[in-house]
Amino acid sequence: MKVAKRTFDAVIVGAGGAGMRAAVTLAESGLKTAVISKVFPTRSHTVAAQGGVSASLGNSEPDHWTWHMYDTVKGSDWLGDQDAIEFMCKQAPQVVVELEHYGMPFDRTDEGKIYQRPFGGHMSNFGEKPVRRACAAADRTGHAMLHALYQRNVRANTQFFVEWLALDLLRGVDGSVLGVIAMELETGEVTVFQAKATLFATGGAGRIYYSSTNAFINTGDGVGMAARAGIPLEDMEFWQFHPTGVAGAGVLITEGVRGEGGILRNASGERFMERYAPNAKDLASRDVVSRAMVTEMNEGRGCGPAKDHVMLDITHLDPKTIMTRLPGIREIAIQFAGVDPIKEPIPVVPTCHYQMGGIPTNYHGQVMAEDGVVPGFYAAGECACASVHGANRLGTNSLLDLLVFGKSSGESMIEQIRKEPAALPEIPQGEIDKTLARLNRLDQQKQGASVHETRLAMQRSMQKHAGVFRFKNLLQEGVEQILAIEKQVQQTEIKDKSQVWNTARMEALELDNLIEVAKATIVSANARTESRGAHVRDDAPDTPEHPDGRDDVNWLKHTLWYRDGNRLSYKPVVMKPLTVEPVALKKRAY
Amino acid sequence: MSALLESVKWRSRRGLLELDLVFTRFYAARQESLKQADLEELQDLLVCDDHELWAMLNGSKQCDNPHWKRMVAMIRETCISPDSANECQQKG
Repeated sequence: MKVAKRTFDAVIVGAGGAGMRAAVTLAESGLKTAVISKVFPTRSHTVAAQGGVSASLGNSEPDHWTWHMYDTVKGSDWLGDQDAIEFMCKQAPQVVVELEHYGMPFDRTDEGKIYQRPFGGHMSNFGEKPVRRACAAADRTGHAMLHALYQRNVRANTQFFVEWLALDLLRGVDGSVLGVIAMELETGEVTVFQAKATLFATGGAGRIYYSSTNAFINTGDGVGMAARAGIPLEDMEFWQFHPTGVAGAGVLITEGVRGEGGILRNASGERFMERYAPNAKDLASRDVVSRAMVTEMNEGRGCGPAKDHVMLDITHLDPKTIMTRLPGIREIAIQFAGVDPIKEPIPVVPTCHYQMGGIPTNYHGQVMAEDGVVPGFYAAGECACASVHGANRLGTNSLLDLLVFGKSSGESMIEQIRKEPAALPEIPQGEIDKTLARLNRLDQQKQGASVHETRLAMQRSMQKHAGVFRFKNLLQEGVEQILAIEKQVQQTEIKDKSQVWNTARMEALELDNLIEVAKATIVSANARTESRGAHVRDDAPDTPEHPDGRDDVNWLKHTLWYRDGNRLSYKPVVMKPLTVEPVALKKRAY
Repeated sequence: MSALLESVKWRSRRGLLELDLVFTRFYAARQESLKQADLEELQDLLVCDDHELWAMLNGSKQCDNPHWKRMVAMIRETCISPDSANECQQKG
């Protein structure tokens, strides 16, 4: 197959918030910058972010970046790197104001300042009381952010390659990253994008789970490509789940429904949360509610023929309350659960929401492998692990992550590119051939596995074996099952062999990426025998010696998973911030 | 025609899960019967922003663009429950 080549100073894969923020910095500095995206930029999953972006602007009440930092370290269950967290929280006001200058239509106070609202886990004075720190554009913050960044990129002459799928990372003989190889959907043509610096900003991989709030495009393309290129994946056992996604669909039912009086019931109609949280009941924290739901299902009290969900009941509420206060939720229940919640309860299940782990980076956005920085390679946003979210992300810190690390990656790339010689190094032909062989295998495969069936098997297995509440025997069984499914992924077959707009091929190639994320997740989760943040194991319970099952003596460390041999290694958590005193270890209690 | 269908299907993969689910239903029900003109209208509609598109499809926002009305109606008729909360609100 003939492979064309294009050359740039910088290539960015992914046109969500992180990729476009980096692109602004690069293109405005005059560098020749390409952004490759499989969908139109403003349709990236960042569009779904509603809550806001956190920054200690202090527009409504006193606030300070050190308070934000404390909340983020605590939220991460002390697995976040404190140097990166300090960097992010300190940078937050600046990147938010920059975004405002790019044209972001933030909500305003009467005095014309950026309006800020409270959000879970964000407190003043080191955990004292809630603080208004979230800056939002109504309930469409992500949407507005994408539009502001896209317009700014158009102005800066960023070159967009829309409806192109990046296939693999290209590395030189010395391990440095030389660009990516990508396919244009419209023609099926394969092209090498060579660059002095390459950034992955490809988002998360929430579609590894059967029940996910993520859009279908979230297939972990960058994470899969990095794994295939020998880059380790960090802390992949940590996934944030939301307790109430519509069963079978994944669409979120906000906590506000329980706030209005919604009750969770099992198959016999029992209000089971009374047994798990006698005081807070249905309004207990996300992880407590999720675990209670899973326990009910695992012990045979789930609803439906497969006993695989519970019910969220608001039938006792006044229909007028539902119509006026929860119209959007009623719409979702009718459309995606097939029930009118005025008359019937909504089937719900804990649902995968956010990937805390990813491609390991430092706070400059540089990718870090075992032996240090990988020259020429950067990652930012949900596909990266800086690590600022550690074992659990705080709401509104994800949009902040995009802005801060998108920008810092862009700046680091500029610094590196300016030092590079004008001539680009030779790309080893073997690197290109590996991708061509993968494409050829897919085209030639006979009597192979169905992409749809194999993906479904992976998603169901991940949901059962590495869900919100984890069990030793299920994790072990899950490792075996996912490794068996991987063998099917290696033999997927597509009936459509055409070059033009072959969506079947695209889905097969996406599955190649998803399976790497699934393997990393289940192997890392099986090995971590403590409970921490979003990784909660039945066999690591709350004891006086290990509050909430957390074992700092043995497990205050980052997991690194390597695709080669499914090997694991570990690296220490950075407990020393850049300029302030460390946030000392203690029990994470709210 | 086949290439147009595939390109339109790819562009129906959106940033919002709600839209992914609606379009999955739509193609499952209508893919075989979509004509060239339908696909061209759909391609035109898909340039919409995700939130605007979802609002038009769930009925919380009127579709004002005459070029999109027929396709919005077709998707609603195929995929959107007649018990739609927004329909009820509008009637009420």
